[in-house]
Amino acid sequence: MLVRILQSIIFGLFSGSLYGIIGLGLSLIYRTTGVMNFAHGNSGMIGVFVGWTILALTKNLFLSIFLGLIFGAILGIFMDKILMKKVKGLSHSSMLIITLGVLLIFEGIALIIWGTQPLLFKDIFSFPPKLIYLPQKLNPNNFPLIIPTNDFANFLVAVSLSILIILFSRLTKPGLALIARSEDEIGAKVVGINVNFADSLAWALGISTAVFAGFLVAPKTTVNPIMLVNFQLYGFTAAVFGGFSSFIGAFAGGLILGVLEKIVILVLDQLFTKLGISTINSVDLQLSIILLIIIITLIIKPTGIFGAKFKGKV
Amino acid sequence: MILEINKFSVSYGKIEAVKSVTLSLKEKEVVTVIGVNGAGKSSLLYGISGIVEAKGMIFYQEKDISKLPYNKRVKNGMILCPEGRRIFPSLAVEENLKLGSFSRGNAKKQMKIVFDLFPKLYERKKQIAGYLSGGEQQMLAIGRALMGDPKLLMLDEPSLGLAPIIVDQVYVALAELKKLGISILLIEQNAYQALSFADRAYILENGKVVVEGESKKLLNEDSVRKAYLGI
Ligand SMILES: Nc1ncnc2c1ncn2[C@@H]1O[C@H](COP(=O)(O)OP(=O)(O)OP(=O)(O)O)[C@@H](O)[C@H]1O
Ligand SMILES: [Mg+2]
Repeated sequence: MLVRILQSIIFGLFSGSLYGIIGLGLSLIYRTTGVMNFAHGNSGMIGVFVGWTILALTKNLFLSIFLGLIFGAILGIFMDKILMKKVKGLSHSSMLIITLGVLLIFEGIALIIWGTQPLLFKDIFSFPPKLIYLPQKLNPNNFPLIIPTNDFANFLVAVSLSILIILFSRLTKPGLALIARSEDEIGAKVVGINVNFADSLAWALGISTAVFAGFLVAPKTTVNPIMLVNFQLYGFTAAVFGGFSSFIGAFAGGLILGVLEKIVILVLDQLFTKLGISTINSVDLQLSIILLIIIITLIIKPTGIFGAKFKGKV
Repeated sequence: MILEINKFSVSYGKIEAVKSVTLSLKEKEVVTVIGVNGAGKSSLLYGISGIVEAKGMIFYQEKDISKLPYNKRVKNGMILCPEGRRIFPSLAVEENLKLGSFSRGNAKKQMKIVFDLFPKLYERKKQIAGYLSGGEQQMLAIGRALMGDPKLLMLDEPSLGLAPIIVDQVYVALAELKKLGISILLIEQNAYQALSFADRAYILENGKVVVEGESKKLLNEDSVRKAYLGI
């Protein structure tokens, strides 16, 4: 049992780190500009398609990823300048509708250019999984803990990325401009921060992280128009969970969400086995669990588990 | 002259909040603009600092700055302490102050000036700004403006919502800033405080300047006393 719990936690952390960086990007854009970007996952998906195409042409993986990320940044700036600046001052619901429109447009574009056939994307790190055996005392059946190397590498990369973004926002001038802008628009202006620049930066970074997450999951999901749709929902939940109050919160929210999800599945598995129910597969309940977590969080603590300070913009 | 505006107007769509205002401020001078709610005082300051669009002429240190964006104006030493404080609520007092030096000003040097002026902020430097009292937040807002080493400091109703004793503290601090040689453009509804403190004054009504003159004289003028001092 201990092995199964540990295994769930490990898998949970692995998938949670991906939810975390999606949530981080969403909350970066939301906190800075006040726009909830419902086209987030699909923006990332377009970037992955671009990367995939460059890979097919050049066979150079790192160049493709790099150009995919740059494309994501440009796409983000484009979305800010063209779509959002035109609706500046409009209500949040109008912005929401616009991002929903973009979501559909991106899906359409991907279908037209790349078709419905899922495209394969190689594992970036392809080594056999590592098996860890706990001492006999803790582990009477001698089951191993399985650590898939690709997932582990993704986890490390995702954690490093989020640490980098957090350091960037704390220690560099453009990062501080983001923070100040997210705290108070007029306050940022009176200290001489170019708010338009901060907004574009948030979009560029945010969409780039979505593309990045897309590259990390692509070997599992394949490259296809709906590859990040579920991940966006998870990322959104992670950010709600973290309260949109800080970038660290969104990432930590993702990790907690990932673990919680796998633990709930484990518990349900045990329960169903005990009750002799074999018709329901607990993994199918994953999405319902996520939705339930959003609703429960919002009811119990609308500001997220880490608590937003002093403002609720939703 | 550190600041000169001429036929200066600010509009929001069809509403003209500031109508062809002409105003000037000499180096090291303290000038106040008083007026009732909605007279256009804040709009005037937002226009001068470039945060809202304005029409007309504006010269800072004898240079035309009408095309200069707000962040460049800050860079040149025109610093606004805005209405409603607009501090960064979930950052610590110290972080708020450091951001005040984002564009200009030596953070270390300015912070010493701010802490000498407002010892309360030094005691609270690690505290989250949103948890400060109203008076402390106002001090923080003024402190943050000072962090940018202003040449022209614009203050929008610094005494708003403060108890009389705190208002006095704020004005003691402003007097220190005047001694440091900072030119101050002060906006107030609290006409008595402002007129007693400033060298010259303008009275704004419905976006237009209706009276201007030395503030000591205005303090003794019957029409002003009746309309703005309630005497
Ligand atoms: N963003 C805006 N959009 C439209 N109208 C505005 C805006 N800001 C101010 N106004 C209008 O412009 C006029 C002047 O407002 P302003 O805030 O400059 O006055 P004020 O003298 O600062 O008032 P108070 O003493 O209440 O702060 C008012 O009629 C106000 O309704
Ligand atoms: Mg005002």
